[in-house]
Amino acid sequence: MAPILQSTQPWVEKYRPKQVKDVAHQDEVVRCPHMLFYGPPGTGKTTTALAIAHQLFGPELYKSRVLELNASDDRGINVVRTKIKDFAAVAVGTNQRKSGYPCPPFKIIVLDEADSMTEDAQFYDFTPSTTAVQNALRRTMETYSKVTRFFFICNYVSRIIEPLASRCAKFRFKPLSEEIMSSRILYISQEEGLCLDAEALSTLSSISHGDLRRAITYLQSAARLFGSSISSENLISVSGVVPAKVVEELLKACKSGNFDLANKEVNNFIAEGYPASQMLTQLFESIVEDNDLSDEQKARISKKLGEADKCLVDGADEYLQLLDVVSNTMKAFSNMPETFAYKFSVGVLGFLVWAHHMFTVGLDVDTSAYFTAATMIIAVPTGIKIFSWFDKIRFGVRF
Amino acid sequence: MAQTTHPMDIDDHTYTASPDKGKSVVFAGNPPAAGKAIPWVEKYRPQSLDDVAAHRDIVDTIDRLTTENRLPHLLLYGPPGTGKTSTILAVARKLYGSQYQNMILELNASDDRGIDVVRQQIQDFASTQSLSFGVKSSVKLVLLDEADAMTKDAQFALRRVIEKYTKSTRFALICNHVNKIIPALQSRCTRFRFAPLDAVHVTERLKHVIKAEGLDVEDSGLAAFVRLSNGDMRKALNILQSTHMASQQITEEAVYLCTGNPLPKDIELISYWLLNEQFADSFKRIDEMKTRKGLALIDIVREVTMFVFKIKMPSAVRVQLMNDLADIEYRLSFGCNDKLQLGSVIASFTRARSALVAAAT
Repeated sequence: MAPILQSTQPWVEKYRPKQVKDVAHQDEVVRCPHMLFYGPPGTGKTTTALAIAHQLFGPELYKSRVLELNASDDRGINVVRTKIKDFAAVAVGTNQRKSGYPCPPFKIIVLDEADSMTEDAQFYDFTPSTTAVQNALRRTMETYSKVTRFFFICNYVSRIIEPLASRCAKFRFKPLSEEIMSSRILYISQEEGLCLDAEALSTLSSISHGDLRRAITYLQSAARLFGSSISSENLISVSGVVPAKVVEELLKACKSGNFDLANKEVNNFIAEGYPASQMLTQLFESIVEDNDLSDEQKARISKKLGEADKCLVDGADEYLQLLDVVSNTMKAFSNMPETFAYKFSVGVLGFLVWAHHMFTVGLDVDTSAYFTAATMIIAVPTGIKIFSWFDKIRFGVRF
Repeated sequence: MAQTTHPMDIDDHTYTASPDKGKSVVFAGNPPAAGKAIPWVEKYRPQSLDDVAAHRDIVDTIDRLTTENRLPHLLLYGPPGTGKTSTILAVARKLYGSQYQNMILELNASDDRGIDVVRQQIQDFASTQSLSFGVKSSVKLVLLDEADAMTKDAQFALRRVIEKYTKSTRFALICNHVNKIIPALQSRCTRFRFAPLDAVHVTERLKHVIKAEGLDVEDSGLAAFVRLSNGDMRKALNILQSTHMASQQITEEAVYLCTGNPLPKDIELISYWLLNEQFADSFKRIDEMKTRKGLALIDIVREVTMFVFKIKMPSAVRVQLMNDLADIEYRLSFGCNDKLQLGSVIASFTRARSALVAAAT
């Protein structure tokens, strides 16, 4: 039995496979001039690229033959001009076979998250956009293709420009299925001496959405906090997923139509420290699953959720955005008319009242005929209003 | 005197195989393994001005200027893949023949574009006189590819260099956005705009490449190449080569799988779901298809936007729908949550559906 919690190394790194056959789900990787791995996060793209590099060069030559760049490094166009070109331009010597590894006569540059380079203008420091950086990289690939291989890793292949994509063999990584995820998690649990039941395993698969890296990180956090016996509730609490009860309470407050109650729920939510973006996602899932709502109501709430998501990405205040979503949801639940429609109807009635008052001005008979019609029409809401007063005085109730 | 030159990254054996002007010949002598290693955008780049697929008026004008030995400074601009670089390379071959490696300095975005480059490399190259015999023209050519990546300081410095060495050197600037070139440089050059190629030229050229490479391409696949390229010949050839690397028989589905774009019938299906299904069902089905086929939501939004134009609906409904989809595409480009933005897309179509029903009554 392996010692519990002896090592502080993250388990996603400790259990990252070192050879291609260790990749839990993806099979049959063929070596090609350049490679492009794409797919959702946590499906083994970086693992496969690094495993290929390890398998080709072995531990001794790996550091001198492989250059890794990812989103946390500089991704500007100057990196392509200096770092990548300088690394790619140096030719490698032959006949350096090391202890059973093939050691082919080229180097590898791994560009992780190749599609995440975005335009970022700052004061006197304008960084070219992704397309410009990739265009600059294109010539480098052509010139040094004899001595260097490029591995691109991204989420969507369409974000890579065609001149780069056409030079690569493409490999698509699908989201991991539950049994593959479970087998890998069980292997790690056995190695670390954890006790994981079936319900916890199922919960871990659902909250990580096919992302093995996320699942392993949740497992490590839960083990560190709760010891070797892990339950479904433990995993939910460490993952940052808002408990379903909290979401239900907020929805119930929205349905009640009581703004003070909803405000109290939002205050409790903020005080608990849950992330607002996570609440938006789970609120959206609850809205989709709710059978009591009409499509019109779901549409109104979803539209506001999308807008709030953008505001949060831009750095807006979480409390205000949540209140905005909650207010809009309350209006949707009670089928309250939207602001524009309500104001428009008030305007129409106001116009009728104006036309009615014109009737008393004393115009000639022909002109007054039109305002006579308006006077007749305005009698209807006036009558409704007066009889409402009578009922309120007599019975003490409101319509 | 040794000259500081930077040879262009041109496939030498491609040029030597056909020294004469004329149509591109099939390189039957090349071994197949070597042929696959060359990108087809370079292998099938037009070799002379007659081979350039489109823009006959521009090519004829430049051809006449070249023949009469009155070539001015050139500024070629337009979208990528429309023949700007090919035209310049063809002009260079016509001017210099086999000596073009020594007579041309090519710089592109992979090289440094600062003011030091203008002071050192370009000035050194432009100031040296060529003593090569047999060259028809005595002027040299500086080719600045992707010139809009140059800094403003470099462009200002280049202005003076252009003036000073007009007698011995011609400058050809190639860029995508002409507004990024300073007006002082623009006024010293003759400007030519290369518009996107139309489908006829793209199809014609693709058929030529398909025949030369002996590919098995269906008609629907060919239509897919033309559609995805949007008038960009380089893009079409890159997609063709990429798809051929992925699968031997090239069908429409193989093309879309290779590029990662949604298939048109998938977009039709998604649009049908958006306009007909309940909110929850629509979300589940689109989300499942997105996951299964690896589609990016931003691509789905763009394709659905084009599909909306084919549906009959009142202008007011269409205007609102376009406005909403534009907002959602903008949010997605900022890295918003895909799930929430997909909800927004379905919400927009739900409201459009209600508006359609209201308009029909």
